[in-house]
Amino acid sequence: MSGMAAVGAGGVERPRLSLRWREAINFYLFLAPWILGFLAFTAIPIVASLILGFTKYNAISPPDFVGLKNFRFLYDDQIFWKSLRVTLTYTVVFVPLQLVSSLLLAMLLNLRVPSMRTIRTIYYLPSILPTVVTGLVWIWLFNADFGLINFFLYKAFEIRGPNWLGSERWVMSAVIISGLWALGGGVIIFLAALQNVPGEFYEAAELDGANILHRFWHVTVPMISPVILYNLMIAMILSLQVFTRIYVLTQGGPNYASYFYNLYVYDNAFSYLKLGLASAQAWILFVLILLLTVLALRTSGRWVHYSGGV
Amino acid sequence: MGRRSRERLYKAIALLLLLPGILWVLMPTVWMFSAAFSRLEQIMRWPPDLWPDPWVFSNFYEGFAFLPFGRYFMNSTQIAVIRVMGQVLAASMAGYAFARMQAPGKNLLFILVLSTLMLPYTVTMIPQYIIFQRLGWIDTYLPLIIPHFDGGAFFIFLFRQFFRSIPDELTEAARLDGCSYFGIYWRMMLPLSLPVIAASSILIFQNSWQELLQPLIFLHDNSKYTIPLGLARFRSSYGSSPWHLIMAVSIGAALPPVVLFFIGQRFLLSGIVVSDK
Repeated sequence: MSGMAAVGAGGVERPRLSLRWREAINFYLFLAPWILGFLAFTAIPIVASLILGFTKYNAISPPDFVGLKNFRFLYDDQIFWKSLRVTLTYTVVFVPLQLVSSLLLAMLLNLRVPSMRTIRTIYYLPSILPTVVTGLVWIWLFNADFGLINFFLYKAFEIRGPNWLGSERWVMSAVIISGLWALGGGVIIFLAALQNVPGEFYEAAELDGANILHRFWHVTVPMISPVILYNLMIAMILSLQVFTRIYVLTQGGPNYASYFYNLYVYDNAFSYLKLGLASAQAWILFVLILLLTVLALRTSGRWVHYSGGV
Repeated sequence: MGRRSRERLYKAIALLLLLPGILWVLMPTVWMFSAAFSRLEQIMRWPPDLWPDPWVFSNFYEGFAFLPFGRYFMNSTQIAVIRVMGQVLAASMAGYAFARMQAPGKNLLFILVLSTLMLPYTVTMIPQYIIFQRLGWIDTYLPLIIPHFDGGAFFIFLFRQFFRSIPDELTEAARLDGCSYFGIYWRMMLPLSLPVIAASSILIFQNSWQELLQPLIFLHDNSKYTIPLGLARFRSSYGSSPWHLIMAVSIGAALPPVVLFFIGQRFLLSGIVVSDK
């Protein structure tokens, strides 16, 4: 690599100017895997997908330009709106719950208590297990007749639990409960952030007479606010794209009550081979995510502090 | 109340909150183990009885023989191992470039890298399918591996954060001695970044091991299935499923990521540097 730059500069002695060039060339060489991968598997597909969104295409005969027909079809499609509603309902309920419980859990796990390492490991365990595996286990835990959930409800409150996964009314709750079981990655990122808050800040706050709530609001939250923003955005983006857990748990049923957006995209693309329609659908979700992310970033100026910097 | 005793009170409250949570977190795993060692009749019993009676060890043998789960296991392993190696290499290279080098267009490229986090997979999924079909990659593992050789935004970010925390003096000296960028990366940076390598290897392995959507799209031949795809198909194709066997296979499927996690656990937290020094 350095040889290339030296030859380019045309001599054994490296002129001073070439140092910056050498650095830039090296930069792009190191970034080459990302750039090539990005072009081939992200950039070109994004454009292709946008174009396909305006076509009728079944993967066999060549794409047929149909203008806005796909979008008009979706506008009139009850199932499309249903899947969008299911996904947004889930996101609106699940994301705040997940964010708050991840942060609280991370704060508890950050205390110096004997055997905390073991406790941390146990709490992280659900996130290590493959989603398909935990999905299969939850099917059984939610079973109306033999499931442990209904058994506990009966034992503790003498309630006859619902048919969780078989009832339009309860299936969303079941999906949210099983999601909150594996808090995982967000907790780790919060924990890492909490460990980076300098202890002196807490000591200073305590000398000023701040109690535990004050310290939480005026030290912890501002110090880790960039990480809160990051976790919020990632949680939002991921929950709008839920697929695997639902595919295993309910396959979208009953009566589309858990038919998440991406399940419908997948079905349109690979079960019904409507690749143009599915591309249009995917792009609508993309735009929705972009809007929500911009909204989150715009409003973040008020509560995110970059004093520690990320 | 003094400071010491207040601290102790907080810790006691924390433990009181954490311990019942442990029951909740472990419940599904306990049920999984119980079912994997039980007869099918026992699983379908009210009230549930978690202690297997009798203990059935042959579930594991039967489960893995029922569909060729042994083969799926090997398939998943092969994909995950190759993907981890390529992705860690690419992510560390990109992270090094972003952390330690200057070049025109660098900031723009970094924003581009981060913005890919917002991109839903379904947007690229269909054109990728068309590309891979043209290349004859359907029913091979290449679509599950090669696209990840870009490193991935999250891991590039992790490596960048870590490399930025290494003091400049360390590399300046080597640079003045005429060490190339690649030399510094390979001989100094990579050995220092062992915690990040371990943390990202664990996370990438997990991602690869549990991926369902991509195998679902790109693998049609039964013998090429991965473990999650096999399990998902197992569920949908057998109406009243042999749950005791499914759970036995599930334990097998959960084992590699769990073992890997325990080996690399101590790096997981230290490898994730979220603050900037």
